[in-house]
Amino acid sequence: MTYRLELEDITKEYGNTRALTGVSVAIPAGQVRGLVGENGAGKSTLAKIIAGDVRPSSGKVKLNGSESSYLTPATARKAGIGIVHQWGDLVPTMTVEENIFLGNEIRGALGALDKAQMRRKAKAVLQELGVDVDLRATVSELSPAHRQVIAISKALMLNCDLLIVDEGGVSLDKKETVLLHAVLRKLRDQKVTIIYISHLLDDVVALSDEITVLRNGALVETLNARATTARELATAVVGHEVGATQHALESGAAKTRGPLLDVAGLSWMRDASEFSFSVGEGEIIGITGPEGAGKSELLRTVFGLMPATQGTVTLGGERLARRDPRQMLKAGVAFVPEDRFQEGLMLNRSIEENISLPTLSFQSRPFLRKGTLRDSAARKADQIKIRMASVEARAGDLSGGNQQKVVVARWLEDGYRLLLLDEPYKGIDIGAKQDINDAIRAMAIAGRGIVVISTEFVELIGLVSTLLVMVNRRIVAVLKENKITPQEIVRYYQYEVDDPTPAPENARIAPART
Amino acid sequence: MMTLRVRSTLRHLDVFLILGALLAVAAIFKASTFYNLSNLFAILEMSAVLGIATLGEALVLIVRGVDISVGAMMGLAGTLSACLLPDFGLGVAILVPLAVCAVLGLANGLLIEKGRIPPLVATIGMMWVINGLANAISEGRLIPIDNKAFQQIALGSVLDVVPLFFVGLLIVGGVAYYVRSDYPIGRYVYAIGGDEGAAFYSAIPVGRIRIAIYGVAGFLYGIAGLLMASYVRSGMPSVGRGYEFKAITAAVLGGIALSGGRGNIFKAIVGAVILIVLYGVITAFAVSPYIQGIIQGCILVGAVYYASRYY
Repeated sequence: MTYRLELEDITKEYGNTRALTGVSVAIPAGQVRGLVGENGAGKSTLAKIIAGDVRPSSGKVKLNGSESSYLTPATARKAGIGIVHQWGDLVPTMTVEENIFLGNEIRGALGALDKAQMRRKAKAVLQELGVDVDLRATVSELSPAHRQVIAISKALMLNCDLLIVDEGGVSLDKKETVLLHAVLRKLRDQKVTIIYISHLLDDVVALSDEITVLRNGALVETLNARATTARELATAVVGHEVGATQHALESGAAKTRGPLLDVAGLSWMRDASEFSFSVGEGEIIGITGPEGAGKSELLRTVFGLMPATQGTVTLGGERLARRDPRQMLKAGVAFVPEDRFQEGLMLNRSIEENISLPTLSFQSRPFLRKGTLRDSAARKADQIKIRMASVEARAGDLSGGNQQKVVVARWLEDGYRLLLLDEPYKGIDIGAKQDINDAIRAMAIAGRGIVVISTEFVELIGLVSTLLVMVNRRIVAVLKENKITPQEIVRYYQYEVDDPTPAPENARIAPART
Repeated sequence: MMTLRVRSTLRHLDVFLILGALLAVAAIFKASTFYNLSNLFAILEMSAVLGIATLGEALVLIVRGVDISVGAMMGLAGTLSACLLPDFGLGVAILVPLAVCAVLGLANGLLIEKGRIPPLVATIGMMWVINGLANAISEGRLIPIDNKAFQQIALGSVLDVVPLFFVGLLIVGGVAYYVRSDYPIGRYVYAIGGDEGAAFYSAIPVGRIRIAIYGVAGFLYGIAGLLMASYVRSGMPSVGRGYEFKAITAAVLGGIALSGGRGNIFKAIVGAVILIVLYGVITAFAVSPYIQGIIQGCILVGAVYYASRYY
């Protein structure tokens, strides 16, 4: 049997870190191949290698049975390989027709655009995919699913017969997912090979023929999608051994004292569901879910960075009606934003200045006491184990993990009651993650309430006493203490959960039909 | 539905409605001072100058840039031309300044694209350099132009009232509109301003196009500068002072988005005409020139406010 694409023993190293180790995958023509794994498992590196954006360190690539040199974006395109990026393929200010042919226009006489032919071809492709979109509509007016379809049509215009769809199902609701699946199935029936990357396991199980599972940059197994349930897939994705990380819970963090934060019926969009949860003093709660689930939006709404359409936030019995960063800090709520470069750090200032920043507005005297600030910053840096020359060093010179520690270190001592952390583990190494978790525990023991949001739920296991699982802008599960295991969490990663109670054992979502 | 269609049509025609309203105001209150041959000719001539400069600025704004060197380039073009005319004749005195402005425009583009210098900073720096060049050439003086053929550039007209260059401007605007709608390059320019990443993924040579746009803009400022020099019959480094902001105001008034990727070039030219007609109306009402500045500022801010809410 010849395969459309074969990867043999592919390894990719970035400096000292290995993104992929000896991965071999063979995909027959006309198959939908699911590609799943946790964050950092190597999915996107593998996709980039296939699309030619990244060169593997070693290993072989075969196309249609014959060996090929490593692909570049240009040769990949020539070989009929197209990729639909998670976002960023379309120009939102331009029309559907302009986008489909962007960079690949059909020209007629005198090099002018042959608009009639483009319109005809675009119409034909959309009709084939069974989608009705006005070619003159501006892309920014389209639904997320239609945007995906337009991005796919754009790739098809380059005559590709191997299509990589990166996180296509994210931020689509059920109806839209059905539409996307129908389109991709039609393509498969026309012998287009599809590699479908997704966090949403049900989405992958429903659509794929076979599913390749990656973990820590290595191939775990390739499963037959028809004989696999989302639950089995979840086990394969997270592995069996992870379930046992229940050790740290016995530390004092579990002793909650009084109620602190109460969020009731909060919402940030007219159509989003309402969110309610509460945090006690000394309690750590976590919120997880796939990318695009609305976790960040929820936290930002609580902190007042996004306007709420309804609902209340109460802190220590006092309702916080007007919320903005200044008011929230005054009330004793601190926030560590997701994007430490844009919103968290002043990269060209010293570590000391970065750590001291939020405390400046609390002090009563007009002049800064530099000595005190420095001692306090050094103490905090020490406690969270920032590896640095001195607190005078530039924050921009630190490694990613140490930069994140600087942002968290700000809140180690000073007068606040509740800390909100948005994706604190993003792009940092395991050692730094542990140091940050140690710091979070210390803060909780000191009586503060803490909310941690992370896509990397493995880090939250053993840290939080309550874990909310969010999918598609809804809380689909509230897990407590020993119920917080990877398998429990991942089984809620479905594109639609009608009933937040656990589904029956073999409730595989049937392939959607139109 | 009907009202929706009417409203969207009105929105497409908004600049023409504003222009019509201004002309009507002039007709009702100041018909004799406004509607006479020499005044109309002057208004159309200045519209051509500003319109050409606005065309360049609009192109730059569409690729999400901004150009502050407009006035300095106009001054340099006129000064160079005035210096070259006595010794080298008409042809050289036209082509050399235009080539110099195009090269300086490319330099703007290179600084921004290759040097990664923010457009505002790069073109402000270039503005000073260019203005310095013009002053060095003229030694700070006004250089009179006696060449009859050169003077004729601005005076040529259709039916004695429409300057040839205004006709030329409309033709250039029409061509620009046609290129936008019928050639790939038109789409690429808008794609770069609309989403640079998407343009890059679509294999569009983003950097080269952006540099070229600054070059074309420089060339257009050069034409505006020569036309101005012909009209005032002299080369003067400071002749284009303030034109960068007039051009930005005109472009925004015509619906060009400061955030890039949106706006119709032809309407930007109409924006330039509106601005000049407005000056004419203000003058006809004998309003103090100080008030003019206030009005101009209000128009710029008001146009951006309108655009950000309704486009």
